[in-house]
Amino acid sequence: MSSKRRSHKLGWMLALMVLALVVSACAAPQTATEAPATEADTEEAGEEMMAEEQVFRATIPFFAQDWSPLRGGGWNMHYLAFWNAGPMYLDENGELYPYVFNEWTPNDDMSMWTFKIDPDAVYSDGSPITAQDVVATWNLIAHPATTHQRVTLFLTGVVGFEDVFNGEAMQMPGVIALDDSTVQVTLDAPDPLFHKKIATNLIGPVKASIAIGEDGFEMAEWWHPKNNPVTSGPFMPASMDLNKGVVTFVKNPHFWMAEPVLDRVTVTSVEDTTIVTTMLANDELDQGWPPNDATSQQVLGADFFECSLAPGIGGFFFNPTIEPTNDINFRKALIMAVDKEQIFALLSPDGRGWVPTGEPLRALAGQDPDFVPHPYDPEGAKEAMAASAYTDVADVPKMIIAGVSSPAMELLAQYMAEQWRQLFGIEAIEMSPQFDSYEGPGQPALFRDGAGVRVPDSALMLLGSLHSSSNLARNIMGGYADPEVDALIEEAVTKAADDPQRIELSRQAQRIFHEQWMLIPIGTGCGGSAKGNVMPWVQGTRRNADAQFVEPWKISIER
Amino acid sequence: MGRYILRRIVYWIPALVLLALVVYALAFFGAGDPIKLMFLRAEGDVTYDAQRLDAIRREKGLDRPFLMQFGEYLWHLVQGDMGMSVISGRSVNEMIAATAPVSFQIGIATVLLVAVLGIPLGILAGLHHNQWIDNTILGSALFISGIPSYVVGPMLIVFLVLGLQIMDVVPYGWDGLFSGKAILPLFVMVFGSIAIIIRQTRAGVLEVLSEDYVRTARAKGVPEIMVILRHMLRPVLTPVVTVLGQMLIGIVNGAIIVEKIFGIPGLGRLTIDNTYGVDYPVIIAIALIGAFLVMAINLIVDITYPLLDPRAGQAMTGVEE
Repeated sequence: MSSKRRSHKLGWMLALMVLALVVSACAAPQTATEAPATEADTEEAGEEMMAEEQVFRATIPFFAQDWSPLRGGGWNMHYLAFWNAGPMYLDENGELYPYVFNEWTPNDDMSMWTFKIDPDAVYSDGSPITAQDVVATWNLIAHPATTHQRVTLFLTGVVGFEDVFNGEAMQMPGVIALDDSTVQVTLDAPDPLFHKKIATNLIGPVKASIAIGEDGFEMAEWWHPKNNPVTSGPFMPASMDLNKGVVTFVKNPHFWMAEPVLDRVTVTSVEDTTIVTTMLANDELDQGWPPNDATSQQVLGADFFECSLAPGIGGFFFNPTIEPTNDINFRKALIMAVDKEQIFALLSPDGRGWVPTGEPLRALAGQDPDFVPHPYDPEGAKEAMAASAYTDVADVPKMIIAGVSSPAMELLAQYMAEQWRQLFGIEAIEMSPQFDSYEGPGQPALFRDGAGVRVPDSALMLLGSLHSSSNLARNIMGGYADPEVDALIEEAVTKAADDPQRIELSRQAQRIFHEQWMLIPIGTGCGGSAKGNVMPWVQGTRRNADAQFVEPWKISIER
Repeated sequence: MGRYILRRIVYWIPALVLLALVVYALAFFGAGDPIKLMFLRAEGDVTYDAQRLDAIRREKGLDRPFLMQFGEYLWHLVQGDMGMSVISGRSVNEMIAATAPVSFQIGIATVLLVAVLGIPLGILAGLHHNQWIDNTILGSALFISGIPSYVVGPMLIVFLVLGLQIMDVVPYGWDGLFSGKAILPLFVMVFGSIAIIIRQTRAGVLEVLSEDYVRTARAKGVPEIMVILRHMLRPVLTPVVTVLGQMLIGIVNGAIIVEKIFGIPGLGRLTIDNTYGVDYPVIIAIALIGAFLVMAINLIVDITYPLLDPRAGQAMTGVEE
C-alpha cells in the first residue's frame, strides 16, 4: 500500500469520526415528550411571550425516573400537591380542609366513615372524580406491586388492608363505593382521627380507566405526558424529559378549587449541591434544597433556611435487642456521657434552632411540662457503666452506628465515640452511612433516624414512633416492643381528639419510653424550611407535616 | 483484513454473553436487593416490612432462581430487549438510547480536542526538550490535570457565574454539543486528559529524533515542518492513537463526575444513579455497552495501526505488502 493511499484512508477515517460526531450531535438532543397540543396549550404558548408569566422553578437533588403519584415517596413527591389532589389536606398548623372529599361523617363508634366527593371535583380532562376511582386507587396503592412507600400511614386499620398489603388479595372489603360520589370505609377498630390520617396528596385518587390496566395493576408510565395522563391537582404534567431530569407542569384548566396563580412549574434534577446554591443565587431557580451550611447561608441569606419547631423526634436510637445495647445501664452510661448542648453547638454553629430534649411529644399538645431530659453527667455515666454487665471494656462487643450519612452526622458520631473512648475506653465502633439490612449480622447498635407526625396529635405521634408496629420501633430500634407502651398508645388512639385522656395516656407512654434510656437526641422538627426553601420573591408557599406544599394554587412570583 | 475483522467480531459474542452472566451474577448475589434498598434508602417514615418486600419481589418475579431470571434476561437480550428497570419501570432500551449518544458526543469531541491540542503541544515540547517551552507546556498540563474534576467543575462555575459574572447562567443540563452549555464540561474533560497525550507525544518525538531517517531528511535539507509531518508524525502517532482509544472508552463509559456536576444526561450519570439502587437490568445494559465499546474501539485502533505503520498490518494479516 503506498503512503499516499494510506494517507487518504487516514483522512477518510478522521472524516468519518467528525461525521459521526456531527450526526450524533444533531440527533441526540432530547426534546421533552410533549403532550398533544390542546387549545389551552396553544393559548399558553402565546402567553409565554408575556414578560409577566408566572413560572415557579423548583429543583430536586435526585435524578427521578419514576413520577407516578402512587409511589408515596421519593424527592419528586415533595411536589405532588402541584398535580395530585388528595381526599382532604392539612395546613401547616394541622387544620383540616376539604378537597376531593367535602364531607366526612363517622358512625357512632367511629369505626365506619362515610366520605362525599365534592360535586365540582373533576380531573384535568373535565370528567368527574368518582367514588369508584377512590376505591380503585386505594386498592392499588395498598398492593405491593405498586410499591407505595407509606401506605401503612394512611390505610392501616381498614378492613382487609393487611391481605392486600401482603399481596394476598386485590381488594379491601373495607372500602366500597356506595354510589358515584360516596365512599364508605370500615375499620377494624374505632379511629376518631381516621379522616385526618387520609388528608394527604399521597393517596389522592387517580382516574382508574387511565392508570389501571385490565389486569388490575398500574399501567407503565401512565403519568407521562406521552400517554396523555389525566390528573386532578391545580397543575398537570406538560412535558417530562426523564433523561435530562426536567419536568414541566402547566395549569389544569378544569381545577375546581381556584385558578392557580402560577402559569407553569418546572422541576429540574440538580444533584450537585454547589450548583443548586449557585443557581439559586443567580436567579435561575426559585426553590431548592441546598446544604444548610455557612457558604449557602452567606450566599442565599440565613432567612432562606428559617424554620419553625415542628413535632418530631430524631437522634441516635438504641437497639435493645442486641448486645451491648440491650443493657439499660450501658445505654444510660452512653447517654449521660454525651453533652446535648455540645451536640446542638456542633449541629448549629450559629446557635439557630432548639437544643434537643428527646421528648417525642415536644411541640404537640401533649408536651409534658414535667419532662426532664436525660442529663449530661460524666460521673453518673461512669457509675451506670459500673452497674452494667460491661465493667471491663474488653467485654464490649463492636458497636455499629448506622445512618451516619452526612458530614454533620459523622461529626456528631465522632464526638460521641470520642466521649465514650475517653470515659470508658470503648474503641470498637464502626460508623456506617448505609446499610443493607435491619436484620441479622451487622445489625446496628445505634441508628440515626427520626420520625414525625403528619397529623399534629400526641397519640398518633407515638403510634408512629414508639408503638411496636412503627417503622422506628420495628427497624430503627431493632424490634423495640414494650407491652405497656403499646397498650397505652392503643387506648389513646381510640379516644376522641379533644378527650384529655388521649393526651394523658400518651404522656404515660412517653414517660415509660423515656425511663428506658433509648435515645441520644440530636434535634427535632426542622426537616426543612417551613416555606419550602424558596427565594424571597416567591410568595404564598407553606408546607405541612407531610412535606407537601399547602394550597399550591396560591403560590405566586412577585419581584 | 475483512476476514480478520469478521473473526474479531465473532469472538465478541461469547465474550459478551460471559460478561452478562458475570455482571448479572455479581448484581444478583453480591450487590444487594433492589427492592429492599428502594425502601431502606428512602428518608423518613417509610413502611419497611419484610413480608411486604417479599410480596413485591414476588410480583416483580425477582424471587425466582438465578438461572431462570438470567435465562429470561438473555432470551430478551437476544431479541434486542434489555428489559425494564426494576426501580423505575422504564424501558432500559429507551434509557440507553437516550443517554449513549450524549456520552459518545462528549467522548468524541473530547478526544478530538485533546488530539488537536495535545499532539502539537507534545511535538513542540519534544522538539524543545528540556528548554523553557518544554517545561512550561508539560508543567502546565500536569498542573491542570492534577486538579480533580469534582473540584475544578464546581469551582469554575461559581467563579465564572457568581465571581467574575462572565457567564449569565449556570451551564447546567444539555442542549447539544454545539450549545454554550457544552463548553465548560468539555473544558474540564479536555484539560483533565491532555497531559497524557502531551507526554506520550513528547516521548515519541524524543525517540524518533535520533532515528537515521530523520537525520537523513534534515541533512537533505527537507524543511523542518515537512520533517515533522512526513517523517516523525506517523511513528509518533501509533502509541498516541492507542491512548486516545482508551481515553474515548474511559470518557464514554465513565464521565460520571463531569456528567453529574453539569447535569449531562449521559451513560456516566445513568451508571452511578442506577448502581446505588442495584437496578441490575440497567447495570448490565451499561456494562454490555461498555464492553462492546471497548471491543469496537480496540478494533478500530487495530485497523488504524497499518495506516500509520505498515509493519503492524503485516503482523496482523500475515501478508507481506
